[in-house]
Amino acid sequence: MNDPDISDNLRRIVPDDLSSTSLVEGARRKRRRRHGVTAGMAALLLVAVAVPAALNLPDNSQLAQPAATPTIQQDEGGWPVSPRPGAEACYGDNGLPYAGETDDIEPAPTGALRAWLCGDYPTDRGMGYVGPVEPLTTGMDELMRSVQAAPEADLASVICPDDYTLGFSVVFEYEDGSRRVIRGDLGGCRFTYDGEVVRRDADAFHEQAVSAWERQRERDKGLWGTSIFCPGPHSLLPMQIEQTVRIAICAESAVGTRSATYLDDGLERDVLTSIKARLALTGDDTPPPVSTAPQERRWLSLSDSFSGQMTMVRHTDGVYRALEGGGPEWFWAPDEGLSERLDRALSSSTSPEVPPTAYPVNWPVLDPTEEPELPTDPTQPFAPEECRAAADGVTSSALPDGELPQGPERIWLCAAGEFTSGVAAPLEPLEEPDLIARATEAFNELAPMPRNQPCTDDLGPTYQVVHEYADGARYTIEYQQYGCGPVTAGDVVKQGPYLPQLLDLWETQRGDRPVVQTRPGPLCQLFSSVLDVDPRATPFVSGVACTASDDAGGAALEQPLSDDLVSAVSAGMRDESTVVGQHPLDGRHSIVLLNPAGDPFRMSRVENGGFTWWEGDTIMVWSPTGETAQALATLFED
Amino acid sequence: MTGSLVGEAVGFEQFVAERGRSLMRAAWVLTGDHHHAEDLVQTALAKTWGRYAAMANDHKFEAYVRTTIYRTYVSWWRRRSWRSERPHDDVPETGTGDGVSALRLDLLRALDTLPRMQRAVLTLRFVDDMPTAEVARVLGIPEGTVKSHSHRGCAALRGSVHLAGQEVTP
Repeated sequence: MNDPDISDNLRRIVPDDLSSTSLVEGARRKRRRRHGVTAGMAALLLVAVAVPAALNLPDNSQLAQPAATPTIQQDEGGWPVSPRPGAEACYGDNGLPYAGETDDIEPAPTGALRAWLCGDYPTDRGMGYVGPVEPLTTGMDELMRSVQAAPEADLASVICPDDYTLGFSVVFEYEDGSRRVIRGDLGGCRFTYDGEVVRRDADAFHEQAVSAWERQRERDKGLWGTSIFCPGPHSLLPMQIEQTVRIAICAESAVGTRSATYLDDGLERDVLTSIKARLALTGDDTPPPVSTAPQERRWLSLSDSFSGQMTMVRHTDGVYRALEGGGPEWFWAPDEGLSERLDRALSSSTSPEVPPTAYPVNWPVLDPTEEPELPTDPTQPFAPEECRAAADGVTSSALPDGELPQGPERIWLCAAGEFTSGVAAPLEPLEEPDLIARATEAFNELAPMPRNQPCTDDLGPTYQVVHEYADGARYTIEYQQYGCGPVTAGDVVKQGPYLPQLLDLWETQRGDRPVVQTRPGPLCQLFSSVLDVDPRATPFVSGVACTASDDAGGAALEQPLSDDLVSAVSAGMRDESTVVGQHPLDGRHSIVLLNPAGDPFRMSRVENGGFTWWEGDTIMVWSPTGETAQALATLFED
Repeated sequence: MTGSLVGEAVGFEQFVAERGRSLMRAAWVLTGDHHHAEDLVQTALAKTWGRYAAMANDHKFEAYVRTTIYRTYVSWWRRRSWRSERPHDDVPETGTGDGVSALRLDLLRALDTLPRMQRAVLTLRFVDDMPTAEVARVLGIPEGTVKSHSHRGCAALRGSVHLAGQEVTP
């Protein structure tokens, strides 16, 4: 077994049906347990332990300020509207979850007037769970007695699982204004902490607390005042999406500031009606998001009458998706008219610093007298400047009215994406006006990709098609040569034989005016050309020998072939190639040859000194003879 | 990506939606088991989540997550031995007709014989396509050690009774 086959076989054995759907929720659960364990250990040891800041905290201390937002409605219960998610009573003066007083040694007494259920949402981070905004006003003693009836933990012999913990707490408030906290961990040893008393069965405490609030909500239908937070935290009492009563647009600027704007009454009413009618659970027939990013930095924030919030993100396939905590993922596809109205509302929401990714980017004007900029990484295959700029700037451009404008001056075909690195695109742009017009039509005439079309989960090459216009505008189309093969321009997602049509146009242009050009190195990372290269039809004009070497940091050592050797190899392949079955590779050596247009052709050396390559489904081999064989053997001597 | 709440709450989820399967593939080769792979990726994501907004772009964040996956994998094996558990119990027994199932079982058995660091090196080199220097950086070991592990790991796979008859294709 040779090294290339180790790579190939290791990849082949990975099951195709690996699911990643529970990664976020699992990561969130573990993340929260990490914080909880730290707090739990502090309680056990009665030692103040700081959470290691380096573990998870972002470097940027400005990350965690929720958006200042309008108030939905003043509450009817007389409690102050919290400027922070959840109940204000859940926070200490430092903005962290309220942890009680240091002299709270005895268990909390009964007789509380009200209680708040709190998550562990710290305002300095902007992530986490929050409890309901409203206090519990009946059944506090019953709740307290239930938790205090649990058996105490024997800390001398306890061994907690080495996992993480979700922390929650109930803050009890008494007539004199004093407060006591009973905290619980939903993981690890699943203890509760009540003064210095540590008890078991935090799950039961949590379940009873949630039930108490849910029973109260059955009686209390009033609207609770709160602010919209962008994004909203997760709730210990998850919001039911079908109970949405208000909708705001959250917008985020490039520097992280956020704003919230309510939908106007008419649009909000129509969206609520549509959500109730068209909302669906994500199922097996739901396609994965087509987009490569959320809709710019804007999204919908749904809220219920108890100030619960849920984020709903628009993807470029036009489907909105929402996920709350460990609940199901919902998706909602508004009809075309409503979708357009929402798009207008989203695009007009306040976010002045957001880069206009939906419009052509103002690319720097290049001075043709300047030397072209070399790739920053000399080990990476060469790409024209236009392609490098496209790769750095944008995956695709939104188009005016969804149509690619007529009349670009030139079109570049670029290999892009991590699975396209071994594929070489043509070096020259498409420049003939009639061919450019046909390329433009090729995109505009593609059919929209069906929203509910199942797509395979494989990965493959991605191409960008960059259209340059005389006024400096550029529009980039992205084509993924795998899965459903989407052809994307901003929100427009199409499907069809786009790449084959483009390649035909490039071939036609080369037929009209043959190009002679050399592709700059390095060449050994290249495995194929997007344009067909027939090794027996066109003589090669240059080439390199590639030798895999650990001494070069894993990159192949590259040495040019002499002109005579290239000619001999080219002639030998034309005259002496034969069809073979499987053949053992030597695993380290290969040759990359260039045709006059600079398209690469790669063949791998086999153990008997020959070279092999694929032609469609057929394995070809060429066994050099005479001086050519000797020259090549010398070249690849270790 | 900006340093922002959305970068964490929305952008992070989008990142996982886009790259989660790729991360799972590497984790699966490391663990040979879907549940362990999921646990490994989830743990790495939990560790790195807070850094998402501070990273310049998703590419850098993915490199950070991958580094965390490999280092977590190595450290997990030190602390708690999954090797006492039955590996790859979720591998389907039914073949696909192209011999992939048999190859999968054979190769997993061979991988299970490797020390954890060798398996990590092989996965980085041959699944993630990383050069030696990058593998050394990810695992925090000298390049010479990477080469040594890679050499020995490949030799072990080549010499495995499970792979001795493996056909080689170009």
